[in-house]
Amino acid sequence: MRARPALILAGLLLPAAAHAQGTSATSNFTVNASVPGSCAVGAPLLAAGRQVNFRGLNGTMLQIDELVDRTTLSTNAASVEVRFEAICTFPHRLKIETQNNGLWQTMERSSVPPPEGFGNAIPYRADVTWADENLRLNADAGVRRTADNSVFVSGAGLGEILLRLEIDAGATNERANAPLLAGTYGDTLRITLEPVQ
Amino acid sequence: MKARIALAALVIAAPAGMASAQGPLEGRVAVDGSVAGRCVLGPPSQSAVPLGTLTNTSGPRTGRLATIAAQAINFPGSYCNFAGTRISVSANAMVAADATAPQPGFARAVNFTSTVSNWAAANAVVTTAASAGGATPAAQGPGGTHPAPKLADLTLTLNNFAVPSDLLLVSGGYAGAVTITLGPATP
Amino acid sequence: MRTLSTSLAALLAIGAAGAASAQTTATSGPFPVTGNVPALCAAGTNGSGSGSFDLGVLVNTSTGLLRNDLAAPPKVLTGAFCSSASTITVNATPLLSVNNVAAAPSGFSRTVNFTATAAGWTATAATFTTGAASNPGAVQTRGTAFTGDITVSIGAFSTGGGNALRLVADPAYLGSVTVTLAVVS
Repeated sequence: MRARPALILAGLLLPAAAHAQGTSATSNFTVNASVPGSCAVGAPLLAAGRQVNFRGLNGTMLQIDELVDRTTLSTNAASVEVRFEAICTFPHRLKIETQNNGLWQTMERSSVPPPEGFGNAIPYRADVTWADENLRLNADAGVRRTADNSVFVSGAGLGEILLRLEIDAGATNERANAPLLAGTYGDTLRITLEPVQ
Repeated sequence: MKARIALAALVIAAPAGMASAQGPLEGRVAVDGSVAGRCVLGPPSQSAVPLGTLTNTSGPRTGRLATIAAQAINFPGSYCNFAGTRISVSANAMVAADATAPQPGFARAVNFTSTVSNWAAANAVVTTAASAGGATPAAQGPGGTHPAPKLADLTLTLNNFAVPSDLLLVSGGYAGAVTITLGPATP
Repeated sequence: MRTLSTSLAALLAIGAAGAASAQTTATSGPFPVTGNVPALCAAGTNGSGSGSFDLGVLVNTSTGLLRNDLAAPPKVLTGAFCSSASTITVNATPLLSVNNVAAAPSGFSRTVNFTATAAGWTATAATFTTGAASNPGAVQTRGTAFTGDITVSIGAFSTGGGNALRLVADPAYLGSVTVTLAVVS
């Protein structure tokens, strides 16, 4: 009595891993890696030729040349554009935040409201453009407080954040063209790119 | 069975000069015959031993010799009518048709053991010893001598299939052979 | 009664009687003992254990650009064999950001190309470069049965679209390498 050996498994294609055999045999490997997310914002740079009534950028301080008209003591128009080199390698939020919600007196602070007819804060508009997104923050000088606005950017971004500040002539927190109390006025704007969890 | 019978020539000599007797003539005739010694192997139960696929095609022994069951060919009604006979076996290991020298790790020969039993007290056993490269594939040898005439059913068994050093086998067809001889112990 | 002289009664025997005559030997065979060994290949076992080339962080975190010192230890397949002439083929897919499937924004890339090599089977190693227009060296032929170790390695990394592009952030960049042995029919 003779025993029959097993049949040949010819032309059998077996996928993956060890012990694959047949007329062809395949080993598979994966390649794994990661890229951590990061955002960075560079130092502000003045956009040349785009400033009106701004003396310039001193470090990170934008100096207005003539804040008020000498005759009316009300606000002069002013505008400036500032660029920041920035990069974010993952989806993120662009936020602009004002510390004072307008240009307010930096030194002379008082809880006493100004005398009738005088203004003591200057509203302005801040427009930010980044990665095809536009963001406006109206610092309306109504109440001295922090305020912010933000927009979600759905992808990575590389390039420049463009910030445009505009102060209208005569803009005060009293009424248009009201005279302003004496003092130094200022605000701080923060622009951030932050990861979205 | 035919016996040759040789007829003796009948010679009747009548000596000359002798007076014929008057009695009847009587001569002697002897009849003598002989039977030649003869061995015959019975008709084999199969004419070839095809083993099919020799190697495992899956598992940890893929590409190496599979377990091959013992194979048997029967020769019923074999006999010798004289004493002092023995079986001899001549075997050739299975060797690949591709004569190229195999790469390291490979062999092109499969050895096996051939045994013929049921004739003499000592069986005829021959194991081929081909090298991995297929050299020295042939092997032969006799079994024991049987001291009397015998009639028996003989069995040739092939088993103990093995590859030198259990190496991988090169692909292709493999062929070996076995021949058995029954005859006088002293030729 | 007379009988013939026994001396003259001779018996002449013709033929072999009692003397040794030629004894016959019976031979049966040769019986062919045949079999066959199929042509097949086995991929061998990955002696390195892990089936993954782990590159870690792809970028220089200061610049955001692809690191120029990326490396992963090679993998060794032991006990691979083919019982007849064979080809070895290496194939690879580039590292792609798994979670950012859309085209990367301007200035960015989501792809890292590399070259995969399978060596030790043929005189010339088989190589495949992802992103290349063609890979003629990806298939190499061996004219004899063979058993041996195959070393699989990756290298020559580059950012898809140019090395000046930054890579989008993703904890999961994934590529692949396959090595195939096949009998030559």
